[in-house]
Amino acid sequence: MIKNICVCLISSLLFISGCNENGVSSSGSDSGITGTGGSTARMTISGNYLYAIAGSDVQLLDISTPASPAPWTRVQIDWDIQTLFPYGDYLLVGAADGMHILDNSDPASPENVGDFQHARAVDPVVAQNDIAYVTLRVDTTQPANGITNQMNVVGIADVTQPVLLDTIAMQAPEGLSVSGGRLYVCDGIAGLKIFDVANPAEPVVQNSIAGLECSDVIVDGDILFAISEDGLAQYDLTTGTPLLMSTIETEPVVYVAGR
Amino acid sequence: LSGLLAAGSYEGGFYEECAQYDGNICVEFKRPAVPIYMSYQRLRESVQVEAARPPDRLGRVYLYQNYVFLNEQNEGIHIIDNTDPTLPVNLGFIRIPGNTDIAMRDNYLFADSYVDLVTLDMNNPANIQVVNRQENLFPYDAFQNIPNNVSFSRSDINGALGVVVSYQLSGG
Repeated sequence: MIKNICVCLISSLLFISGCNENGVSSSGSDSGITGTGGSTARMTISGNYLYAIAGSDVQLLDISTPASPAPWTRVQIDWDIQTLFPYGDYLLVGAADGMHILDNSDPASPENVGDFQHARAVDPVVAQNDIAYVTLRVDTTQPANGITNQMNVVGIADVTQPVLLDTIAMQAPEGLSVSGGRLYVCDGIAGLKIFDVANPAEPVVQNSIAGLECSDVIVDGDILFAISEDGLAQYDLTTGTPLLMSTIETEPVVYVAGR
Repeated sequence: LSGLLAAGSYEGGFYEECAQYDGNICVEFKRPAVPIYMSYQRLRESVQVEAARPPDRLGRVYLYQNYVFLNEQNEGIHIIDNTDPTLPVNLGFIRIPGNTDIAMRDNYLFADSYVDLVTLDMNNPANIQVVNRQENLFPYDAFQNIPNNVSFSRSDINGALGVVVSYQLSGG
């Protein structure tokens, strides 16, 4: 990620401009500066395209001129798709009944090349080194269907034939993030679990942050961002043991009727 | 029919859907309500920058350079200056009704706003502008901003009136 050292901004309300000379390139090249979303993202950018979940479709928009995104193709996927995760030339789509793999090497026509099916659950997905990690949380708005809270380790070396390699029992898993040799998983009241994935096919619990009931987690460099009902917590990962650096706490807003 | 009875019950002609299960047992039924709308015209005039305030009902997070964007579910985006992660500074709030997710490219911010996708030019902090709006890119969802334990009768949903931003419980 590009570091943008700029003191000029805190002055009044907002930001970014004035910093253009160091870091923010103008567009024109193949693709420009973009950011990082979490595993529960419904929108993501790959190359010069914005991908957004629109009902049971993924809608593409050409953003080579970011000021005027142009609707591009629309790929029909599944009745209840929930999350998007860019993975090299592929796009992993988390759906209520599984994971779909879109081959995106030609953004003009992404193609659904592989599917990993499971019973209905809520399931974000992340991937690294030919392995996808899919959390399955029991959907309590539906009658029980035999599925239990778990994480699936899925081999995607052959994207046309995803293979279930391992299943790990969980409490109530939600968002997750994989970075370097570690996999970070929000697991309800069990807190944030940290797995060693030196062997990517066999995650081993290594540590946890008890009491952190997060819905999503993003690890970016040495910083872990965790979102929960309580707010945004940031942890320093440089020592190997997560150290809380700061918290932005939520405060309920009282809405006035007829706002 | 037995499937229907397991999933809900009829009461005064209103079919009660189940909101929450414990195994196969319904532990909470949805409450009947009527939708409250925001007109499309109002929706399309609503994006504005507001003073910083503490976030509530956090949804998704997006990292962009030294900034953290915090989505407040269906309300908009909190902008956090994270140059010093030990001391993040809450800079302001962009009100975007119906917003659930964002992405950014070269200082342009893409955000859903109920059925629309809006693009904001963030280059000039003193003058954040909507520069593009793709109307009706996303399917109409009357339940997007409604708690799971509330339900509308299908005949009460009228997409021509606008997007559903709230609800009023029927009866008592």
